[in-house]
Amino acid sequence: MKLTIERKIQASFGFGLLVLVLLGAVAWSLAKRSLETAVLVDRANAVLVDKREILVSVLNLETSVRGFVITDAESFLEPYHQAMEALPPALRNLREHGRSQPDWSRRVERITDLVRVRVERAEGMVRLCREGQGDLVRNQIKAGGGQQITAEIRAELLQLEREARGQLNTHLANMHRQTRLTMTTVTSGLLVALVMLVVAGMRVTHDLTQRRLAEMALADSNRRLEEQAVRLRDANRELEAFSYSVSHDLRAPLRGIDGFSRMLAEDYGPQLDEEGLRLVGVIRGEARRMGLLIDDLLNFSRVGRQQLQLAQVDMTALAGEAWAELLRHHEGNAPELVLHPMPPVRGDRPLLRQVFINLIGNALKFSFDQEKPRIEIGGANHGGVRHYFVRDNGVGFDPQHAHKLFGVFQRLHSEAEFEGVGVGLALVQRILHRHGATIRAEGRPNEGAVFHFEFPEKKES
Amino acid sequence: MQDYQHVEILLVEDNPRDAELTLRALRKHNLANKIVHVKDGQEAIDWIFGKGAHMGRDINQRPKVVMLDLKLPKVDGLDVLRAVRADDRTRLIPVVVLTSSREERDVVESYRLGVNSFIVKPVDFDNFSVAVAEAGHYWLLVNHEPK
Repeated sequence: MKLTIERKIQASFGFGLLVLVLLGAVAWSLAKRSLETAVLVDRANAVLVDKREILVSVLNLETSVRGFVITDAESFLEPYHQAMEALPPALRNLREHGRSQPDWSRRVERITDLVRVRVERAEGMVRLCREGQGDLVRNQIKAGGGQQITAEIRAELLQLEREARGQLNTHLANMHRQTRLTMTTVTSGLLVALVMLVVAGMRVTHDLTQRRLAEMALADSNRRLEEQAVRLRDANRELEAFSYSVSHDLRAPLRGIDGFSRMLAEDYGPQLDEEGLRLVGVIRGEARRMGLLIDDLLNFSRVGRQQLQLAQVDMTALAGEAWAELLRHHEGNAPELVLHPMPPVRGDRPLLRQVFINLIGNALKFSFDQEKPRIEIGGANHGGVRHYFVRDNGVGFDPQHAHKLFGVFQRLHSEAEFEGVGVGLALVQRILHRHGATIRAEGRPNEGAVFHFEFPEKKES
Repeated sequence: MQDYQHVEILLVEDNPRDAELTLRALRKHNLANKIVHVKDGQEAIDWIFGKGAHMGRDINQRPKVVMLDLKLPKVDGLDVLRAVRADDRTRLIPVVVLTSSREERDVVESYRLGVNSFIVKPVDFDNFSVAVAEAGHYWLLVNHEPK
């Protein structure tokens, strides 16, 4: 898939951004999980602390009470009092910390009950002792009921501790596992991203270099084209100037030839025989032809040089004008003219007039010998493309040679058959080309000819 | 010495063949004695203003029309025209410019020096009459009856 450099750069940045976002998400997730785990660990630890505190308090209580029973000394009850103070909050804490585990709360309740029972028993003993019922209490102790309860408490607490430790280990193991997983993911993600970015960077640099080289090559070739264009312009201008001055300079001696041969005919005509007069006529004829040639050449070169004066041109009226002018110089019967209304076109009126003069002139010339010479002119606008034609029913031409028709000085009929210097169609083509139009000819020997010319759709610039 | 009193046409033409044809055409219509022919721009100016080679000629004896070729040695046709138009004494003399082509005519007109008429060479009598008529000077047609 061909991606532009811009797209590649965008993709690379997008990918980098995506990687960053993913890493961020992963890190955030880990942090959150760690926090949760930390809370759990903290709670498990707290439970262990509570458990120890309760156990110690219960044992102290027991020992303290027994000591009091033995000695009757109030000082032995110090630990007892401390335990009595410490136990309620410790139990409350345990309940609080064990809240997260549902099966713990049952155990905690049990422990709480047991502790309460033990405490009540201890309280009872202390009371009895103070009332002087020392022996009774000693018997109670010997019976071992209190010991039993304490043992149970210890067992429950132990169980609790085991479970709490178990939880703790699990959480810690989880944390380790998560951290390792995250580190692996992040590292491999970073590596992949790094590799891809490096590759992308290399491709983009390569592409940018290519582009820069292409731009330099383009600028270079543009410069060369510009230089060529300048050279071409200069060459053209020189050529135009040359052909102009040559044509001009050729006219002077031509005037001499024509004028003096006329003087010869006028002044010495009576002394010349028929042949002599014919010879003089030939000289004048040739001089005239040369003059026409020069005119045509000058015309031809001028068309290449001058600026087109563009305006909307009524082609129907223009064709009519050209027809009228040609008819003025036409000898013989006026041929039939079929003039269809034609669409207007934007162009240089005098030059387009020349086009019609040349095309209709040709049509007249080549249909002269026909019994019923007929010339048809028309045009139509086909969706912006303006198409015109000039048709005659004259002597036509061999389509094999059609490509030569528009060459300068090209003739498809001999001079003897049809007078003319052969620049007319070349001029028509040149004018039309300067308008961006095209021309082509169709014809067959003795079946007339038709010239089609087309102006392309106007492009709004 | 030519009787400059009757000079009515000043022909400024350097090409001897063109000059011969023109003079012949006008001679056939009896205008020959009314023509002075000079062969370069300097002589044209000298003659018109009565200086140099034509010192002493009365400048107020103006020609009725000047036929002016453009490519002249010494002083160019356009410069002669400029000189004629620049001086009040000669400003109004009708000038018929002899051109070799329509293009030359276009170029000259672009200088806006006030040309009364153009003739494309060769000059024959008919062209000449038309040009003079255009210059608004009818003496020639009045004087001469066409054959």
